[in-house]
Amino acid sequence: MIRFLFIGMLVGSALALGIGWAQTSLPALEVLPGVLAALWLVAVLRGFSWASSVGFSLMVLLSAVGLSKGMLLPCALVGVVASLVAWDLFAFGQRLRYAASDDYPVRLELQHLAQLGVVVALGLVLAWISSTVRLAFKFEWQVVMALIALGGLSTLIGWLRRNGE
Amino acid sequence: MNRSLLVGLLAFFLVFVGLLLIGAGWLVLSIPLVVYLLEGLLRGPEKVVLEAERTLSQERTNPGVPVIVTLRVTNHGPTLEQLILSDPLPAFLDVVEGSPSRMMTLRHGETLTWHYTVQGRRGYHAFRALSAIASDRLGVFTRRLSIPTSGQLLILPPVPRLRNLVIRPRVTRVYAGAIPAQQGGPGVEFFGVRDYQPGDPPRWINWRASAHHERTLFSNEYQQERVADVGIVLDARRRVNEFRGGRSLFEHSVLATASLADAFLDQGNRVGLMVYGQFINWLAPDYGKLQRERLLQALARAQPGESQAFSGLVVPPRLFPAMSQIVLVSPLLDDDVSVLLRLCAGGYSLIVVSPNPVQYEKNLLPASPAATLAARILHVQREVTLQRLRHAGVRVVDWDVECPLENLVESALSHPPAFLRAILQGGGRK
Repeated sequence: MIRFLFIGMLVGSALALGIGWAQTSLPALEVLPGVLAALWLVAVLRGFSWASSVGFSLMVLLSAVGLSKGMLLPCALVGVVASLVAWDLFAFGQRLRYAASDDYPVRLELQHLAQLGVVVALGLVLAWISSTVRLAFKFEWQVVMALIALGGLSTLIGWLRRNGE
Repeated sequence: MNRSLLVGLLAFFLVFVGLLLIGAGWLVLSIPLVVYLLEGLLRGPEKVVLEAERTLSQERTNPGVPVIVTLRVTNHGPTLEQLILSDPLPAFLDVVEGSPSRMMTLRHGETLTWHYTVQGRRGYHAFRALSAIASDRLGVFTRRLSIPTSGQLLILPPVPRLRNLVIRPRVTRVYAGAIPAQQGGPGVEFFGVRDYQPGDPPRWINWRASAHHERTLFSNEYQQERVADVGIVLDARRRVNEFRGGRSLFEHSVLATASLADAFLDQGNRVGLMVYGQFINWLAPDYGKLQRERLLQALARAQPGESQAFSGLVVPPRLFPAMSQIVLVSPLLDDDVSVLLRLCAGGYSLIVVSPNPVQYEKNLLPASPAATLAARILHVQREVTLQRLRHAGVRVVDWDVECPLENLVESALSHPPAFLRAILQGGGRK
C-alpha cells in the first residue's frame, strides 16, 4: 500500500507542477517535473535511498521557482505537499522493513497515514487561510515579524543540528 | 542529512527568499513544511531511557543447532511513539525464525519481550548492544542509541573423529601414552632382549635365548609407549586461504585442526595451538578435556587475517618444546618450504596437512581448456613443493577438500600394517 501511495503522490506532484509550469512564461518546462519524478522513482527503485531527499528538494525548488514565473499558487502548493508526502512515505517504507509480523505492519501503516493526513490537512488549511486572509500591517511590524520568523527558524535549525540523530 | 534538518532548511530557504522578494507565495509554500517539522518537534522523544536484557537458550553450541535469543526491553522514560529496535548479527548467523528487529510504540513503563531463533556456522559473537531508533510517528525527529546488553554465542567447529594417528616425535614425555618411545621397558610391542634382572616378571623371561647360555637368563624388553608434545599451527593468512567470490579454504583448515587436536588429546598428548594470520594467537600446550575445550573455543574465534609483518610463514621454535611434534595445517605457498625445512633441521618432527588450493580453485572455475591447463601447471608446481618437503622427512597429507578428511588422514597417518611396523622397528632390536 505504501509503495502505491508513494508512486501516486509522485505522479500527483509531477502532474500539479506540470500543469502549473504550462501556465508560466516558460511553458516548455512543463515536462521537467515529470522527468524529475521519473528519475526520483527509478533512483529509489534501484536502491539509491538518498535520491528521495534530493528529489524532494528539487521538487520544492521547482515549485518555488515556478511561482516567481507565474505558476498558480494551488498548483505549487499541491506539488510541494504531494512531494512531501511521497518523501515521507518512502522513508516510512524504509523504516517499516524493521517491523516484524508481531508488530502488525498494516496497523502501523494505517497509523502513519492517519498522522500524515492530519499534518498535511493542517498544512493545507493554514496555507489556504494565509493565502486568502489579508491583513494590513505597518512596515515596522512586518520587519519585526520577518525577523522573528527568520530568527525562530534559524534557532530551530541550529537546535536540530545539535540534537537531531 | 537527517530528515528534520532537510525540512527545516527548505522551510528556511522559502521564508528567507519570500521575505527577500516580498513574495507571499513562497511564504505560503513553506507552511506545510513548517507544520510537518513542528509535528515532529512536538511529538518527538525528549528523553529515551531504555533497558534491555538478553538471554540465549545456549551460549555454546555446534553448527546448525538452533539457538533461541530472547530480548526484553523496558521503557523507563516517556512513551515512545515509534521505536525501532534492531539486534545486529554477524554474517555467520542466520535467522531461522522470528525477526531480530521490531518497530512499535512503547509506552512508559511497558516491557516488550520477543524471541527469534538463529543458527549458524562456526564463529564467536559477543552481543554487546541493541540498536534503537526512537522517533515521532512520522520519523521527523529521531534519536539513535545503543542499549547495552550482554550475551555471547560460541559455535564450535565440527570435529570429525580421527583414529589411530601415529606420530613419531624425537622426544617424548615421561608419562605413559600411545607413542613408541624407542626405549625398552614395560609395553606391548617387542623391543629387544637383555639380561634378566631381579624383579622381572617370569613371563618376560625369554626361555629360547636363555637355553643357549648356561646359568644366564634373558628377559624380553618391550617398547615403552609415552605421550608427547604436539604443537598445531593453523595458517590463517588471508592470501593463502581466500579465493574469488568470497570462497575460503579456511573453514576446512579449521575442521582439520579441530579433528587433529581432538585425536592427539585423546591419545593423552600435550597439545598446543598457534593460529597465525593477522597476529599470532598462541595457546600453550596442555592435556585433557579442559584443553580440548580451550582449543575448540580458540578455533571458534579464529578468523583469517592479513598482516604485512606475518606475510610469510613464521613458526617461532621457542613456542614449541624442542624436538617435539609440529603439525602445520596450511594450503601452503612455495615460500613456506624454507621455514619448514629449518624446523626439520632443528630436530622437530613435522606433519603438514595441506588443503589443496589448486583443486579447490579449479572446482570453483567454469570448465575450460585454459583453466584445465592452468590447474595442471599449478598441480605440478605444488607437487614439486610437496616433494621437497617429503624428501626432508616431512609427512605430508595433500587434502582435496572434496574428500572426507578422516579417510585421507587415517590412510596417511594411521598405524602402519604389522609387516611395515616390523621393518620400521627393526632398528630398535638388539
